[in-house]
Parts: sequence; structure tokens; C-alpha cells
Amino acid sequence: MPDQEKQVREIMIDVFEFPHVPYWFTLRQVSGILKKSIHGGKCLRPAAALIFDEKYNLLGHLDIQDILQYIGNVTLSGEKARQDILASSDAETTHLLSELSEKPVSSFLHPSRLFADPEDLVSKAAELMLGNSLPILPVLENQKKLVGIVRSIEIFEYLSAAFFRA
Amino acid sequence: MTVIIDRDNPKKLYVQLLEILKGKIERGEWAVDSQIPTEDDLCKMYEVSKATVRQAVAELERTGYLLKQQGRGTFVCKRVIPEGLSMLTSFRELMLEAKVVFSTRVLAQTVLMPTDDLDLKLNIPEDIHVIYLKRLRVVDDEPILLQESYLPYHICPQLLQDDLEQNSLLEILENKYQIRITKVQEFIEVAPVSGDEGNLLGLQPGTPALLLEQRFFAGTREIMYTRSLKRPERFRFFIERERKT
Repeated sequence: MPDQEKQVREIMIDVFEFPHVPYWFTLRQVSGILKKSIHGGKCLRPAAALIFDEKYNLLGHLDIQDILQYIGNVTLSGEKARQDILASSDAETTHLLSELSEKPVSSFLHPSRLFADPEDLVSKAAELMLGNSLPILPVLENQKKLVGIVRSIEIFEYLSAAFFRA
Repeated sequence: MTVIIDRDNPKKLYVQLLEILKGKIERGEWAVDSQIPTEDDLCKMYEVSKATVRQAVAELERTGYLLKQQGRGTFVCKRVIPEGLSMLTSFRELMLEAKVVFSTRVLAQTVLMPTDDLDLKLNIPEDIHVIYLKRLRVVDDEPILLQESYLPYHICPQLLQDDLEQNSLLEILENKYQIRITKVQEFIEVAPVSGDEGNLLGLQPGTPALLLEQRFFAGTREIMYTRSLKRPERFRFFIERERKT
């Protein structure tokens, strides 16, 4: 741990680095937004969208791993082999995928239940993230206003600095 | 008379300069199409730095008062429209004029990314964050107008905190953010309402309603795209044409 431990505000990134979507957007719309973000070269890791309600309150997030998981649940179920399914265009799979794509992201998001404060020490944020396997941790000012995001990458960079001082 | 910058004034220098220059345009001291003094001249006239002049001029350009022409200079914009032009009359003004009991319910005031062709309608890159407003206008306890507005987030981020139930969006844009709407393009058609829209407007899904799409500009810059669904029996459009002699 560094001698003078940093606060979360010093390592968090701007929330506008991530795409924002309302909870009623469909999985297809969010996938399209993430694709554009990836192709535009602006996509951060994890490739995720932040999900908000009508009053711009953060509800949670959804990343491409989640989307892959849901697509996999439709296409890779049962005893069918992965390569067969990915090459398949059977009507049932197509129908299921179409249904899945039109569902709202509210059905899939990871709810945001844990938050950091900008003045928290980084070690506290790290503990929350590592203890709960969170890829991102929202930072709320006065327990209300979303002001930033801490990712595993920031935590890694901060904590792994100790390797190079040892 | 040359108004001078007051360095004891808590207002930022560029804001003071902006107000002075805007006043000159609005009072007609600087005529439409006329070239304004150069950056150096403005620095000398108001005893401010180039950075201050640039910030004030950029803001006036953004809000449609000025137009920069590469290699020629900066000109007072042709598109400045006199106050009170009927095309910019807000819903609130219309209702106050009609003396009816009305209210606005803000159903959404949030941020989203453009999907479908919204980036084209707003003329923005597709990875720009957009403020989304959804408002239901109610007159005599009856919902009559469902309005969805989209604005690039970066032009007025504080709009997310503004009270849009008590205040007109157009007034807030003009008075608080100094975004002066100078042109509106309108497209009117009849369109069936969806299930959600019908629920909000008290209409059966599929019922025809008036769909008004509007693109708002400040100078050459597009500021807002609005999609309004109106109960057809509650609206009448009035268009007046006059030949200029």
C-alpha cells in the first residue's frame, strides 16, 4: 500500500466515459450501442453500459459478458455442441434470439447496490470490489449524485504499484 | 458610449464581455451582416485578454448571434430573430394566453445514447450522450400532448436538474443557458399511437394522432429534436403567410 493512500476521487473515471441507457431500452438496442462504442475505439474495459431510470438514477450496469451469457443460454442449451449451434439457423433458435433481443435491459442488468464515496480511501473501494466480484463500482457524492466509476483496472494499477516499489 | 468591464464584479470577465457584445447586437448597434471588430481590437477596447475575447465570441457563435467566416472575420448573424416570434411560443405561453388550467408532468429527465436514426435527426456523432425529456401536457385534467425532447448532453448538462414542471424548456434554454433558438424546422403528419403512448394520452392504441417533429437550431447548430404527439381534436394549426413588399 502506498504511504499516502489516495482517495477514490483521485482514481475514478468520468461516468460519461461509459454509454448511458435507460432501463426500457431493449437488449438489441444496448448491444448496438456497445458495438458502436467498440468499433468507434472509445470503448473502455469492461465494455459496459450504465443503466438509468427516468430520473437519471443509476440502476445498474450490463456488460458484453452478460449479453454473451444470455445469448449462450438460448443458443447453447441442451446437449447441442457449441460449433453446431453457432452455425445453426434453425427457426426455433432464431425465434428465441429475436424474443431475447426485444426484452428490456431491466430484465438483465446487474443492480447497483454498493457504492463508494469520492472521499473513501482506495483500499475501501478495493475491498468492496474484490469482496463482491464487482468489475465496476459507482461513486456517489452525498450518497446521491453519481460522479464517477472505479474499475478493476484502476484498483489493479493502484495496488500493483507496490510490486514495483518492493 | 463604451461599457467597460468591471473587474470587481463577481461575474467572470468573459460573461461580462458576452453580455456587452450581445447588447450591441440586440440593440442594433452592430447591424446584421456587419463585421465585428477583430480579436485584437476587442482586447484593446475592453482591456481583456485574447482568451476572454475568444470565449465570449465562441459563446455568441454557439448561441447563434455571430458567425465566423474563415479568413474573413466574424459577422453578426442573419438568423437573429426578434423576440416573441410566434414560432417560438412555448406551450406554457400558449396556455397562459388561452387562460386554461394546465399542468406538465415530467415523465423522464435522463440521459441516453442515440439509437435508430436519432444521431441523424440531431446531427451528432452516434457516441454522444443525449438528454432525454418526456413530458405529458394536461389541460383541464385531460392529457393532450405527449412530448419527447432530445438535446446533446454537453450543451446544457445542468438541464437534468432544472424544474421542467414549472418552467418552459425554451425559456430555460434561452434565459439560463443563453441558447437562442433562431430556426425551427417542423414536420407534421398523422400517425397511429403506440400502446404506451395511447395509455398516456387516453387513446386506444392505433388511434390516429397529430405527430409534430421539430428540429431546433441556434445559428447553424442543431440544439434539440422534439417529437410531439397531440390529440387531434384539441389542436388547430394556424399558418399565416405574408408577402414582403
